[in-house]
Amino acid sequence: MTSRTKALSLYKALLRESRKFSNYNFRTYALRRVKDAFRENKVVTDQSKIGELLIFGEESLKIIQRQVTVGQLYGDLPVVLEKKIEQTS
Amino acid sequence: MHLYARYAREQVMDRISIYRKSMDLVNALCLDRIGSFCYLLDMLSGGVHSASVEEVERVVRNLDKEGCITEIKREGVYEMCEACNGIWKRYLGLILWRFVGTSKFQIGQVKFCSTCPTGQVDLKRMAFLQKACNFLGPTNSRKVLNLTRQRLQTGRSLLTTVKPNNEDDAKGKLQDPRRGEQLDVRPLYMDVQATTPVDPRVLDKMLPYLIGSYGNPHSRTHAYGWESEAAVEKARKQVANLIGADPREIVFTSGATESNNVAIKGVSRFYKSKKRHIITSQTDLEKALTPETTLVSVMTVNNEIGVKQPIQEIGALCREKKVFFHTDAAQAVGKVPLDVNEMKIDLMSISGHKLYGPKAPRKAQYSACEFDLLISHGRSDSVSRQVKSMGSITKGIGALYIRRRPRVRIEAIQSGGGQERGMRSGTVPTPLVVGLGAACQLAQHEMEYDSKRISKLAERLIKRITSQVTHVIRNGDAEATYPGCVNLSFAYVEGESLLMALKDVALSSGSACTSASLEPSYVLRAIGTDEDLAHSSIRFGIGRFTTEEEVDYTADKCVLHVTRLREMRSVILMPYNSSL
Ligand SMILES: Cc1ncc(COP(=O)(O)O)c(C=O)c1O
Repeated sequence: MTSRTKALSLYKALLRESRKFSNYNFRTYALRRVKDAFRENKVVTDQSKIGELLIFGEESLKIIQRQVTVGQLYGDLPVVLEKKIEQTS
Repeated sequence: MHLYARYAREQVMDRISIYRKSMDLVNALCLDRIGSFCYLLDMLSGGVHSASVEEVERVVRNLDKEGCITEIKREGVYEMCEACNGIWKRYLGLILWRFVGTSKFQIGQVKFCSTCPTGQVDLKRMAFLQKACNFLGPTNSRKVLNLTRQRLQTGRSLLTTVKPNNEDDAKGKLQDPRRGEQLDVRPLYMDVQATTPVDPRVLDKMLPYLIGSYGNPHSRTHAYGWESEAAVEKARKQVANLIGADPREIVFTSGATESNNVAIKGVSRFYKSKKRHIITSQTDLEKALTPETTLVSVMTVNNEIGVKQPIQEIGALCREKKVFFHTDAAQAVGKVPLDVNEMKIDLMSISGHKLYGPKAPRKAQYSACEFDLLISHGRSDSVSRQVKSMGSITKGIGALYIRRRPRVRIEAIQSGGGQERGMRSGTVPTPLVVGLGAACQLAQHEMEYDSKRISKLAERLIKRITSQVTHVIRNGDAEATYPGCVNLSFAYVEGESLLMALKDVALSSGSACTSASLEPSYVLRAIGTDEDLAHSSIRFGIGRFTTEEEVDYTADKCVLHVTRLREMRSVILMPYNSSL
């Protein structure tokens, strides 16, 4: 697998997992942060730097997976905004 | 009937019928009735200073019955205020008629004007009335009256949580203590100056130390201890890195409050035989410095209006005058770049729960005491006189930076096992320290990203509000203010009523430490905001997890309620302003 395809599948996995955060703020933050990080590092060409970033991404993926689980264990009330969005859609 | 009274009545009825159609009537009536009522008291009578508890109760009871103030008659003469000797208009009585009834009641005679210091009691009482009105409604009247009495007698805040009757029922539900209702949604969180949520990445680093790795970091004889010690030392390095310090200069404490205490009391006690003067404000520092001065203590970023102090200049001045420099950086660490060497800081307080780190929400109370203590050592016994005095300590996590070169010496406040090189005895809580370390490392990594985003959101908030309502003042110099703290004053709107109206947004009218009191914040008064505005200031906190939608929602709600409250006020007051 080239580092490009690796990055792409990591990106997708990160977004998929981030969407599972039950907490509104954590969910929106994770999605935003992942997108911004990949956008920012799109221009990196140095192979060793890319390797480092991929490792960082994989570690982040594990953190997100664990924290999604922790968040779901206790459940959380939706914030006012989510309720509004639900009602209108 | 006076002409203007009839006019007022028509206006009010008009307005009510509009609200009846367009808005939640109960809300409009409760809040605005009492809001306007308070303004009436404030404006027309100069306060309810001489009203007794019974009278206030009577007013609340009458307001509780469905009906509203329809006629206001006032007779006034010009007089001198007994307290400040200022000329002002004294009203002999403020007479209110109930809408349907014939009974009339009078709210005491007024002796003081509303602006002199003695008048402040009234501001408190009026703000309380506003709170009480949130309970209003036919079923809640008894509660209101009881609370009225309680509050007036004890001076305690009403905003204490109502205990759920049934634990299971209340699980997972938020209680609104002001209404005693259960909420099924969470308000938006816009109060990050009070405390921040724990970042999931921080919690992830902490959890192992709350589960399997529970060793005491001071245990030297087994792997549990070594493991925890290594984690604590790693965290110490992470904290040190963030502020450009050496790990050996970091002492873990329970929070910024304790750090401040250790720094200020510790330094002054250690050097008390030589110098005994401490400066804790920043205005005209150069003039305030004396040869006796040991320590200057200044907040890096103020928690109410977010103003950043010229730390570098103060640091340079203190170093030159050979005075120690302490800064409470609870609101600044991890949010603005700080370097203890560049800024010549000698002591710095850091708090975990302000930078997405952990906290333990309970406060432990220690009372000041002085006693003789018998200390038993393994080999010999000795008696020493210990002076122990402590305030309340948050049992959370924080750190204190203490410079090693040139060395700053402190006398420990707390004695015990001699942990943290004797400066802060007590077992170091590994999970919390690991959390603080992780939060610091994260803050260092994310500072640029976060600060760009926060500035953008702050601009968005201010623009959205100021483009829709006028007479909004941003407190604090825009240039020298940390963007994540937006403190706005809305002229002609009582801050408390606005906060109450914005109940689906978690906001505060100042710092959490002082929001329990209804006095206008002393910080705002010190920077010369006039009393009326100071009372209506609201702090919007923007942090790492704030979204655009939240900012927009908050701004729109704010605009809506400011406009509504101002309209209500002008309707009640207008006839008198124009006819007298
Ligand atoms: C500037 C400042 N210092 C100290 C504190 C108290 O910090 P802690 O809760 O960690 O003791 C706060 C927050 O309330 C603060 O804003």
